[in-house]
Amino acid sequence: MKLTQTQTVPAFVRDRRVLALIGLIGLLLLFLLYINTAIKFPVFVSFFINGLVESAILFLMASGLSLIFGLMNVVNFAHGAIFTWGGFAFIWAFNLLTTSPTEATDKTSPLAWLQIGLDPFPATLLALVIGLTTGAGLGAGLEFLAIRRLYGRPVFQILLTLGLVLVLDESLRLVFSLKAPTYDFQNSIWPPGKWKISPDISINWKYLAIMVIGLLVFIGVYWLLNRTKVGLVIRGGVEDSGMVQALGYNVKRYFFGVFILGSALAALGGAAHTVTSSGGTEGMGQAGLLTAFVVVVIGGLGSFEGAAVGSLLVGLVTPYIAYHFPALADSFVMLLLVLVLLVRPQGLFGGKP
Amino acid sequence: MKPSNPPILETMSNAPSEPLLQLAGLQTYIGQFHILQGLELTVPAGAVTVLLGRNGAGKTTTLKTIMGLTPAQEGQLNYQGVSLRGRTTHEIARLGIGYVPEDRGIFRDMTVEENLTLAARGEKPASYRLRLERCHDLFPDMRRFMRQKAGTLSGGQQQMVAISRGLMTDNKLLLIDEPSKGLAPIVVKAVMDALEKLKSEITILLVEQNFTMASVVGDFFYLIDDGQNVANGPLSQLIADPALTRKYLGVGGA
Repeated sequence: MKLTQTQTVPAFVRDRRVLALIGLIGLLLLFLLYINTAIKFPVFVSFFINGLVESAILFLMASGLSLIFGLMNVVNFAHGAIFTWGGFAFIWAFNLLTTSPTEATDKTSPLAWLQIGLDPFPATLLALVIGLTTGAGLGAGLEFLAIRRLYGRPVFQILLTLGLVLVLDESLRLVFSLKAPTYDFQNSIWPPGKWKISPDISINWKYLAIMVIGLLVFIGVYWLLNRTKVGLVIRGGVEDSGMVQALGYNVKRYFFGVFILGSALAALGGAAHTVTSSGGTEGMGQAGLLTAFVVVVIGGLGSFEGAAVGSLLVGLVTPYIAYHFPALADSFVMLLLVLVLLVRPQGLFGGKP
Repeated sequence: MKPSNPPILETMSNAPSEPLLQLAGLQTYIGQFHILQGLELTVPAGAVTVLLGRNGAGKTTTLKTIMGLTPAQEGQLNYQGVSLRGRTTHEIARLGIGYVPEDRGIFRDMTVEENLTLAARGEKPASYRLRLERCHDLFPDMRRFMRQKAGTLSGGQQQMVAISRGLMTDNKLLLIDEPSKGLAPIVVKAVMDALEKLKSEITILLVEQNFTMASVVGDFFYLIDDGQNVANGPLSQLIADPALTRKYLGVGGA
């Protein structure tokens, strides 16, 4: 990494945020090289792959938060609860759908007819749709009933969404009556099997699927925001909602759509999380939410690319830290936040401070 | 399309026959402040009506009330025979009213091109290109900074973008709030020329403190004070009456 020839570097490298990013990645790489002399190559690679999967899941949650919090300035703590709900709806739907009618133990519940013994492939897809719909529905209800009246009033948003976290987490038990995730949930999710890259290194196909989903979401939302008129309306609405309305657009409806999209992405992240951690736990959303908030701030409020880069940074580095310095595993994210904010208070890809 | 602006007599003769916009007894409060106090205003089609008055008289609020941004509590607000009262801002805009606010309302983080694309609501590519070309004819300078972030432009350049935005859809009425504010004289001249060219195509309700600009561009005037109109008529009448302008505008006439 030669940064001595500053006079001849192309213009985009001189952009301060690119410099900051390069510097940060360089530091992290040096650090990783240093600590990784202790671990063997295959372990290093499998950490890297795990890091990518974690990044993808983190990104799914952070991307939704980047839209809702970073772009629309709604402090939405219920985002984590929607993540959990999405994950639970996914498992629950998958379990129901794959149970064959003859083995069905629960014949009394109103949804017992869903036990139709589907194959893993269609069941996974259908369960994903159900999980997504659950998240989208929760987001729609939340925006329509409450957030709509609270734009620009962060204190009220915090109070309301924190309260909703309790409501949503508690009602999870009522709705899904899920004590423990079923033993073979993770094995039966489609796609099965592993991809053997070398005798020592392999990767679950379903993990690869998660990475692909993360990548597709990034491309899709980036395209929506930057290459379509809908994106212009949303970005304009954030800057000056009165003016966008004066140009003839119903900004409320677009914001409603963004909120639904963000919530659906959280639910998708929740579903992905249940796959890598073989099931769901009640607090899984809240645990990830803090990290997601940090990622959005590191990336820069309002910058969707920033959320992606932040997710990669945090997701890739965390496994190594957790391996070498277990005590630092939780606080590492905060250290990274402090480091970034010291160098660039507006975040890596943020606009003016 | 007429090559030059029509003589005042011609616009005057067809003006009273078809008012495009009519305000009567309009009352608007902002918070506890009673801004518009029974404003009466008629905007004839195909002409430039200038709203004059000192600071705080209610000129900007008049435009905002028409757009539904500060809705009126009482009174009539009719546009082409339909009432605008109770309609939301985006519905009003869709009836063919463009708005160029005092602060220009530019989307700073977007390029000029994106600003214009956003304004071209529901336009087909072919008609978008035609409209864009028209704007480039009006403001040839704009070609140079189409891909620049609008926030980096000078005030005059932003004003060109703001006015062009109002021309990107099929608007019949353009509300323009103090286009000359804070601009260098040479830029004011460019904006003035553009409005002159525009007046044969679109009806304009213009708020303007710059009396020179108002008297060159305008056909009719309304003088408002404390949210009521105190005088109105053809602009030539106001130019001929220095006492009136001195009383309400604090300028020595044209």
